[in-house]
Amino acid sequence: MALINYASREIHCKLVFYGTGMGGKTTNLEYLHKQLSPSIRGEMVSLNTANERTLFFDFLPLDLGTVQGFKTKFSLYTVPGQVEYNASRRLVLNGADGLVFVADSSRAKHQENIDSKQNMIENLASYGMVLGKIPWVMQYNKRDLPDAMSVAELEGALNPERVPYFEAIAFSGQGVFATLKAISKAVLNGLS
Amino acid sequence: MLNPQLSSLVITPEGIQRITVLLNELQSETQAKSILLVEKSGQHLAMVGEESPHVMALAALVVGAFSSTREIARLLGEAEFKTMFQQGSKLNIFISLLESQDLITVIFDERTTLGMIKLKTQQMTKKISDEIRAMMASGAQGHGGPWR
Repeated sequence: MALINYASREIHCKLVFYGTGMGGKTTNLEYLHKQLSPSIRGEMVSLNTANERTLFFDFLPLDLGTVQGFKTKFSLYTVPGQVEYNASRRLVLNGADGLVFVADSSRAKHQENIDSKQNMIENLASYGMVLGKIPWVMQYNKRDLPDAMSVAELEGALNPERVPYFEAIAFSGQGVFATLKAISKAVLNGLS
Repeated sequence: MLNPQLSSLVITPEGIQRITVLLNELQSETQAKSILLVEKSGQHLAMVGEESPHVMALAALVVGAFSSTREIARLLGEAEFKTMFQQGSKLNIFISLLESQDLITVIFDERTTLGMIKLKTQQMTKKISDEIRAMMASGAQGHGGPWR
């Protein structure tokens, strides 16, 4: 739920990075945290398991400039990708203003990507939300993998809605800022 | 015109001022260190008392922690838990669910007691809920967002 604060002239929006386990959602946030100046980003909070997998969520607050006199503040969240943590994924989705689906380009993860997207649709439905009614973008991560599927194949399987997609290698930062820029713009446009 | 699918919450200067007055009153009556009002998706609405530089992360974590209790309640066959209490050696946190589903978080130390915090917070929750609802209603009518 976007929060428009006329008292402090701020807009707060919530972005959720969704996708399969080990697909690179946390890596996206870690890259942004590493690259952005502390003046525009807050501390990154990660609720992890003992072996550094996301247990509940990662959280990174960002200030993304000013639009028509309002400061825009975005709260970035990831969901835990592991199948068994669906309750946590559903909770993190609550109130999301925009989504990034981070697909793993590996052919070995093809079915997991499809299942994860279906799971996202079902969890949105539990809040009475429909994927077509919320701004979202697709990120094809791990484009450097030797078994990476072609973009055409991924688009055919995962993006029949034809939302904007971005090729990424989140570990090195490729495509990370482009994805963030697209979803933040889509969310702000969606408020108007 | 705001996108109704995203049901934005518009915070008006008058509304947040009235809410802040209530929070200040609660803080003064309970001698709490800080009181944080958090919207249900994890955004902070207001904070009175000692400010924290980590207010956005605090808000996200409070909602995360409380949301997990909602899931526990569901698994146990309980409709919902309305409060949550965390006891530390110096600081304690009492979280109470408002009718609007937002959360009021009271951070307090040895200057006051849990009983006092619970009593006064619960007396205040309806007033704060009503103010949030009134603000949502007036915001939806009176403001069209920055893109009017």
